[in-house]
Amino acid sequence: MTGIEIGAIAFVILLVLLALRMPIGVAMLTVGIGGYVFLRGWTPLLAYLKTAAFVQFSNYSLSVIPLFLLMGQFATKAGMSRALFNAANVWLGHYRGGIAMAGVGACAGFGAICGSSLATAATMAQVALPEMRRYRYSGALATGSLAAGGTLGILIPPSVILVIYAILTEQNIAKMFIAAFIPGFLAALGYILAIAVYVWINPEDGPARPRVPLLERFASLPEVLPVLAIFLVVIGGIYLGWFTPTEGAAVGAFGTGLLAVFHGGMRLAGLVECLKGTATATGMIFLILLGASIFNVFLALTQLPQTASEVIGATGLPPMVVLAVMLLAYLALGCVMDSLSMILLTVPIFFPIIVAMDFGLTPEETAIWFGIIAVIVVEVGLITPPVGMNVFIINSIARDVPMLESFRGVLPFLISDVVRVVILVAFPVITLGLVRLLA
Amino acid sequence: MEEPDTGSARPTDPVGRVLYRICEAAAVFGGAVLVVLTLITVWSIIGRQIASTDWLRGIPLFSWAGPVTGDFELVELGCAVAVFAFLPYCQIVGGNVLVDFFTTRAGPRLKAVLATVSDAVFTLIAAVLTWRLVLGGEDLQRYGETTMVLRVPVWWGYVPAVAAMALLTVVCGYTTWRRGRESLGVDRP
Repeated sequence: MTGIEIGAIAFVILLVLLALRMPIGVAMLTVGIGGYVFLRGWTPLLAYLKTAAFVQFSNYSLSVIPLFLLMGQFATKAGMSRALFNAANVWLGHYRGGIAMAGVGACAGFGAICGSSLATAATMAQVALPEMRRYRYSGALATGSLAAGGTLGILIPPSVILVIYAILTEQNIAKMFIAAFIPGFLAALGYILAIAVYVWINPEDGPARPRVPLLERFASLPEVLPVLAIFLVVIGGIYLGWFTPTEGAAVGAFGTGLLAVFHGGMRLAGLVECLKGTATATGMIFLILLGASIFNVFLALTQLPQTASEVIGATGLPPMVVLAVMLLAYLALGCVMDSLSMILLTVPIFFPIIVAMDFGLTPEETAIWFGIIAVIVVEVGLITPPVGMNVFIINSIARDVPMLESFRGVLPFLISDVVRVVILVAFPVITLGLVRLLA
Repeated sequence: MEEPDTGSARPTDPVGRVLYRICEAAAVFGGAVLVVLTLITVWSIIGRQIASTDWLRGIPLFSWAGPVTGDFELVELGCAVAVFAFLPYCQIVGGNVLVDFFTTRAGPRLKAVLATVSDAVFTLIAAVLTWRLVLGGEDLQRYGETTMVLRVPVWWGYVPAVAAMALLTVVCGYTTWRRGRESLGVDRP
């Protein structure tokens, strides 16, 4: 058997194990270990396993992940979601669909201190849903906008998945964050436009509410300053080289922790809850990371990534076609898999193919650009039927809204996502402009 | 379509309750380590910034200022210990994501059977990893490997890691047993 065949068979076995409900990390470990033993035997594997787990978990660049997760946990207890939503709501709420727009805006703001989509969606839903329901917004618009808004949490830096992509492909985390900034802003803008079009077609879905006096509007702004301050210090500090990304995450966790204690009123019980939340999220991610690392060591032995890159390069297919096929594959996989596993499974294969192609960009720019687009497309899976996790989370909070209704409400945002991806693919400068400007 | 497998939420049987408490304690311990690392890191950054700013360094009050010695190593060791400590908790609360796409319509019995197989495989892998980790730690102790700056023996980090992996193995064994009972119809899934 050739390496390619072995690699392909391993992928099939992996997918079968996943379909049989084996946890993703365990499935990757199983296939990775099995494949390694098949190719090289037990002895080198057992030697490798002596240090593999500890070496990986003590990797300094990976330390950024638990710290960002801790930061996000504290952020959910900081009481900032209410302040953010309120500030957006007093400015936008009197437009038709304005409260939903405010929800999206607040999600974007919250995403600036929280790197997780689910946490962003769930936290904002607590404050924004009751308000929308009070003003008789339809269930579809209310839940759809928040489920979509939640995906901003992962795109707007800090973002756990961007960090993982950067580590996997040896890119500069700071540059990835900077590159995500404008696409993240465009995403929020696109969602707000989607809401505007939606209520233009269905005016009764998002009725306008009375205006708020201007003075009160300005009074809402100082409340959100802590969020802005933490965001600027963390991202700015990483970018300016004051500190490493890991240190930046620690600074962020420190900042949101202080906010949680002094603004959110977090006490010991709340702290323990945050630590346990961090434990579950970190444990889950690192089990997958461990599985992926062993799986990728095996995959490298089969030379599948290298061969695939050469074969596809030799076909002479236009780079844009290859990219489009990959993005479609992500959309399809997104219906089945979570974003982190998709990135970890596909990047080792896709990345060498992409960087070997000529998009008229430097290799580093291609890597950054592809990473941002891949993360966006992968995140679409969080709101696509049949099982978008963000929609589930919001729907479990809005118990009176039928699930089908929520998925119907997500549709305009999906269209917005697709349009944005096409724009970002067609004009790499949107993603790379800020990186070039600040370089 | 990934869904944390919440089927095995907090255990109610005596063995499970005790294990849950231990895992919870380990998770909170790991989290506390992260909080301490956060404080050390912030302190270190402040010290480093002051030390590298001329006019601030001149002020006698700040004469102590400087980065914490070996802060990166502490973060590496501490994070590793924290991550290991998180794994058993994540497993016992069913926090490891799986693909729930092809089996959304499967009955609880079938899901229990599949979970039993997965957990049995995980138990085996966890046991092998624990065993290898013990040997890896022994190697490091024998060679006297230390960290670069603080000269902390690296095998020290392996002690809590081995304890956590052993706990993970026990927890996986326990969830296998419980899911096994569910698949046999002894307990209700």
